[in-house]
Amino acid sequence: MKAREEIQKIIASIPQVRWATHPKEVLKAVPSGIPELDRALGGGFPKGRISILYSDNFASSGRFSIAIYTVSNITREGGNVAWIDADGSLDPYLLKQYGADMRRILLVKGRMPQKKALKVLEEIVRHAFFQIVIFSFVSWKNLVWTPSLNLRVLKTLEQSRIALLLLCKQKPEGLLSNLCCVALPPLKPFFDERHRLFLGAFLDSPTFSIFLPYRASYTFYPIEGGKYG
Amino acid sequence: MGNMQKEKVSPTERPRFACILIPSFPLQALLRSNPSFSSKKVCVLDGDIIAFCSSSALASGIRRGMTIAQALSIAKDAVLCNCPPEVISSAQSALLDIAFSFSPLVEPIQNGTVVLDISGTQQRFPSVFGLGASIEAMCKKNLFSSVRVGIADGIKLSIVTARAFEGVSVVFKGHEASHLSKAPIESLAPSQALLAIFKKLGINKVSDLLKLNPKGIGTRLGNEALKLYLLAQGEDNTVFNPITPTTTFEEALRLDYSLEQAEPLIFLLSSVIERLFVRLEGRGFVCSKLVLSLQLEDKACHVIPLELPRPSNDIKTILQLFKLSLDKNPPPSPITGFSLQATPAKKTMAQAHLLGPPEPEPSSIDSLIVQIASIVGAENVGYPVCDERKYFSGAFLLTHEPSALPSLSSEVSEQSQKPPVIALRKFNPPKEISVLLRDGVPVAIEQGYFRGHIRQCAGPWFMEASWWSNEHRFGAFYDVALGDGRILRLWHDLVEDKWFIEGVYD
Repeated sequence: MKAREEIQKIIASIPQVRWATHPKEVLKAVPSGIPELDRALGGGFPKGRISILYSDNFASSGRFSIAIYTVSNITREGGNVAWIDADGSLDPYLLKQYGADMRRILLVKGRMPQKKALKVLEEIVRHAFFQIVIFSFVSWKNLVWTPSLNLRVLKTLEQSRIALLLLCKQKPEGLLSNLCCVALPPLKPFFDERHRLFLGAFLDSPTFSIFLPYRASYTFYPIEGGKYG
Repeated sequence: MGNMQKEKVSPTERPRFACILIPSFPLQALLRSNPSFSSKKVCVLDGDIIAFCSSSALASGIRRGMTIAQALSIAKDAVLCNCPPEVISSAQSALLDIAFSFSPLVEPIQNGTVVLDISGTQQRFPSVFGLGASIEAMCKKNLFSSVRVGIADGIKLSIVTARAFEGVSVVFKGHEASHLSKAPIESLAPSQALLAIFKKLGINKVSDLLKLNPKGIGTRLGNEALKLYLLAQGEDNTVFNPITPTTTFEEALRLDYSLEQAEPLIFLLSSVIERLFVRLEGRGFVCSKLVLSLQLEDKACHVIPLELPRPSNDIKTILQLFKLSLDKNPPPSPITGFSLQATPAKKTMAQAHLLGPPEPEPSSIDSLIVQIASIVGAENVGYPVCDERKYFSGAFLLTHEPSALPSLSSEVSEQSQKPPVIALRKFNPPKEISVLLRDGVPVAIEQGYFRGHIRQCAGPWFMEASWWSNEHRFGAFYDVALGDGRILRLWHDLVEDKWFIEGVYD
């Protein structure tokens, strides 16, 4: 019960969503598939705009999980997604575990310099094939997002009606307007003594209220009666 | 289309053959390969004599049959050159491609002249005049500035019609004599001896030949003259010998100077690729592979193959890829010419869903993949292929062919309904750390950005994988929570007794 109460407390502090544009503006959105997040965002990640998931330098905040869950949700519905994995941190096996349709995910992988990654991003958003483009650069210290680049990307996004989702450590400097910022607090893990596993809270969603670190699809051997810290 | 005959014709009377004739073919082939010559006074030589001259050369007073010295005395700025055989060959291939884009049955007559069987094209071109205009437009698109199209019910008749009249001319069955009567006698292509006799007799037009008594033509002028007479009357029994459509596309360029830098070569390459892709598009193909053969000053050949990740006709991206290839593999000596060979591929087709969301055009996605590949490399873009045998190493490949991947199984869909795990953001490569242990259990990470006290720890989960290969892994996973809320996955390599951070739960 104590764990449940703590989860409720965390949920109360999440998500800190704010809009830079007029709040009454109606935008078409790409739903993330997480009802609570979609409700908070007014339907999902807005099309033709830049959305940012960041967590003020917290390493574990759930932004990656939100992105993966969103991608899986969109591809299952028949949508197409592009993922620019600029820091080489995406594990496609995880996408598969989440039930994503791999035939609908165009992945650009590998550790690449910012200039190259931004060039790829500009090239991808120019083509209106995708419902959402994920640009992941969580391990980067900072992103040099110049006002001219911002203007170019926004203009292209508005034409192509693509939702652009940035996954970053902190909010990049230079992002001026028309943003949808979601600041996530750090994950708070709970340790299940009985099952010797971590449990945790993740937004106010029944699907995410509890997570287990592993799925049963692969064979792991927890040692019975092992010692834990 | 000045000589179009606006006569009504029933579908059964539709002429069967069309001849495409490029006048002054060597000159047009040269202008096609060097578009910068179009505004210059260009003359093509046959030995020391001028064989063909451009309109601006004609305007300045240069005529066919003049010597080089005579031409230069009239216009000092005249460009006098021979047409290289490879340029002629490229232009002839382009002409054949134009013909094949209208009909699968094509017979090349000579350089600059092809005949195609147009029967069965009624659905696409209800009017033969429309067909002729389309052929003319396609020739212009392929940089042939002047074209003659003759449409008639026989092979030789169509050739004579094309020779005789400018633009598009159509001769309907039964109207051959009346139509061709206006044509000059040379259009029947008599031998030099017979032409001399015709001239002596004052036969300058086909109408003059048709006025003669047919009974006397054979005995007085010979069998050849009789055949020409019958041809002008509309009797043409020439057998049609179509060739198999070619699947190789090649364009060549020979330079009068040598190139030492990549930039001017890329500039010249762009026009060659453009010409090549116009030919490919005309035949409904896209390019899957290109081979650039550079002729070097020392007579050697430097070959640069370019395999495209997906078939594409995106010139800008292909030029960028060539630029990268030239940077990696520069030619050892200056370039004096080059040829570019393209391997065609069929355009990617996809079946869209009736009720599903709109699908992007496959050829546009192919083009995007090629564009991204030119920035990050072909191996770093594509659709992920998860090989379960490589799960623990995390290795995966990217394919450029999404249809090769398995479709979403119902098992996966069911699995996705279960509560999902929190995602592990992997470190690439895993970070090696040193860990403080107490009773065999990690209690602190001692170095680096992730230094800190381990508050809680789950595991170990022992794992042994790929024992049959060189990628053998044996060790244990731990999930640890640090004091500041970070949850990490640690990997303890039991073979080398090393600790790594595999990633962070995020």
